[in-house]
Amino acid sequence: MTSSLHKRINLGTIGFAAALLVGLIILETFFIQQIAQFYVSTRLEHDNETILSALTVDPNSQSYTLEENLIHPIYQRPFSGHYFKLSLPSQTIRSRSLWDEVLNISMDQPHYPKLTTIIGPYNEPLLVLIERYEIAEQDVIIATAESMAQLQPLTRQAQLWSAGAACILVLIFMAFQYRWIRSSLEPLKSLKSQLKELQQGKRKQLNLDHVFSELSPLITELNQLLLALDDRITRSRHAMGNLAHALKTPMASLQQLSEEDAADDPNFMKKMATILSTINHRVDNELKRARIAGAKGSREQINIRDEIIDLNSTLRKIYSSKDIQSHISIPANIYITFDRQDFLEMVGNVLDNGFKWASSKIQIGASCEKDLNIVIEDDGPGCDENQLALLSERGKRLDESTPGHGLGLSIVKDIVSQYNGEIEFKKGEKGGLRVEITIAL
Amino acid sequence: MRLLLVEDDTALALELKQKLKCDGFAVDVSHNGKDAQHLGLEEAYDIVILDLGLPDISGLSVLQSWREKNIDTPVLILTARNAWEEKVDGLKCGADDYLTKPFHYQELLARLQALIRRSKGQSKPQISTQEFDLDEETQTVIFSDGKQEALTGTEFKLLRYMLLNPGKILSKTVLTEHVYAYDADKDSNVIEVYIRRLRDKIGKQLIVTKRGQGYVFKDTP
Repeated sequence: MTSSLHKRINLGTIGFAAALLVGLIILETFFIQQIAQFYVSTRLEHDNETILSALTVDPNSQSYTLEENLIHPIYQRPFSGHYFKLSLPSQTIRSRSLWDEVLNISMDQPHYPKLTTIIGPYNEPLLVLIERYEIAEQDVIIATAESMAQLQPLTRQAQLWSAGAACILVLIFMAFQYRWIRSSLEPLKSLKSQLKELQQGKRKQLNLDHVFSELSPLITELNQLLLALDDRITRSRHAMGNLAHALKTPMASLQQLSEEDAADDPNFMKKMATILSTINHRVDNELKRARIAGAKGSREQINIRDEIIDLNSTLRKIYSSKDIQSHISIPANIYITFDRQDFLEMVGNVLDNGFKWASSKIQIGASCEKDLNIVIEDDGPGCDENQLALLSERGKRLDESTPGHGLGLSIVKDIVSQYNGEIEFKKGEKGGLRVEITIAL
Repeated sequence: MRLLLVEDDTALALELKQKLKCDGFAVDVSHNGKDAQHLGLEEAYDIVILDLGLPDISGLSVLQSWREKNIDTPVLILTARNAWEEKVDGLKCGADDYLTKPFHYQELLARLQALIRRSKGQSKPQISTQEFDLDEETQTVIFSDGKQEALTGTEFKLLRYMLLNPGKILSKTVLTEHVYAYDADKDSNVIEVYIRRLRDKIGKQLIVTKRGQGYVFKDTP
């Protein structure tokens, strides 16, 4: 599973910010509500005390009178939103503002003072404060109520404003966080582009500068692995070369011996020469095959035109006894990511075959638009249908026991297949062999 | 023709030295890069056979050091390494031909002769003058009228060197250097004897004596 670190961190931040926002809004709503209630309840407390002080008790009849002129006139105006209710030992007094309504509230509370909300006349939400006093050893319970209807829009507005402010703050926080994460992960981006360059063969090691300390062991390890891989390829190639050298020099001596004119037994010498030649070809092929690095091997940027021109001049020197004109049509400055040895081996063997068989001309064309495309055609005798079919057969190795024919092409087929490419053998326009190699890069 | 054979394998070097000697080369052998480098700088060789896998300095470095010092003796790389990368790099370093081991001696010889001819500006497959051809295989002079004259080893070496350097004054010392190997017992007075014998075989007028300077081969009499 691949998941982006950037996305993960952002998702975490968004989740955290959303939770924070919800929490803030809930808290704010609650506190604003609390403040409004506290504000109203203190007023109610004062009103309760005023009502209490307006109560007079006749010491003889034990009856209570409420001197209404001492109470705020708002309690007189019908449905003013301010109401009270008195529960006296022998009677109940309601404020005039209640008119014919009643305050639907129980005066018998387990604890006093009691602050509660009820629905009053006209479905107004009322905040009620119920308090118990003692006058002459008798319980007097006073309940005053005030409508929250006027305050509610104000508290709502305050709640909305604060929620909005919280939203904006959280958004700003998220924007900052997003940018911060982006800039913090910038080194990873450079690492990503470095990895791409590595893949394209533009660099051999990763740069350790500006890398998180948490990542540097990974990078160091990776660099060491890259070095080890490069080293291993070079070493195994060198080992191959050394083995070849160690084996072939004595073989060369043997070959010289087998060619001695003064040999006592010419028949034996001839047999020895044949065996030597077979050993040589077998060894050559296995070694060459082992040297193929393939698409996963060490990669570097190579200029195909320069490499092919070098190969061509090399072959012209080797085949200096033949006068062969090669026409090279390759655009300059085409760089491809390829193992140089594989490339030279692939093109070198096809070209060598061309030089071997051509009578006077070789056409070499190459291009790299989407795929690498190389076409090499000679004007030699070419191959007959059977040979062409044999060459073209996928995965089929050519007869390697008989030296001389098609050996190099067998290696070419192996290299091309290692790079998941296609190779096509055809009869050329001038009757020679036309080899076309196509490799997707 | 003086030839420097750089090959670390003593058995192969000895074998090759014998064969090349028979074919008219004065052969010096070096088994390591250091000596080869020195010999190449100090001695006037006509051709070099160079192995790449030497015990001390690589053959390519030796070749590079020669080319940097403007020593343009033709060099044939004779190596077991047969990757195209090595061939390309070898020839880019200034080698003139590349042959992989194991090899047929006849092919090596043909390549050496072709290289020498090319380096002396001869493009024909045989060394020839207006009067006669020199058959390198049989070491014989073949005149235009079909008459043949066999040469001895030293006569052949001497004549071949003169044919490849026509018109130039060749001192006895130069001729000795190109006819004998480094460690041979050189006596430049013997050259006079060989020149006299050659004149008897190919005609007096072709080799002119420049008193106090040496000899000149005149292609056009």
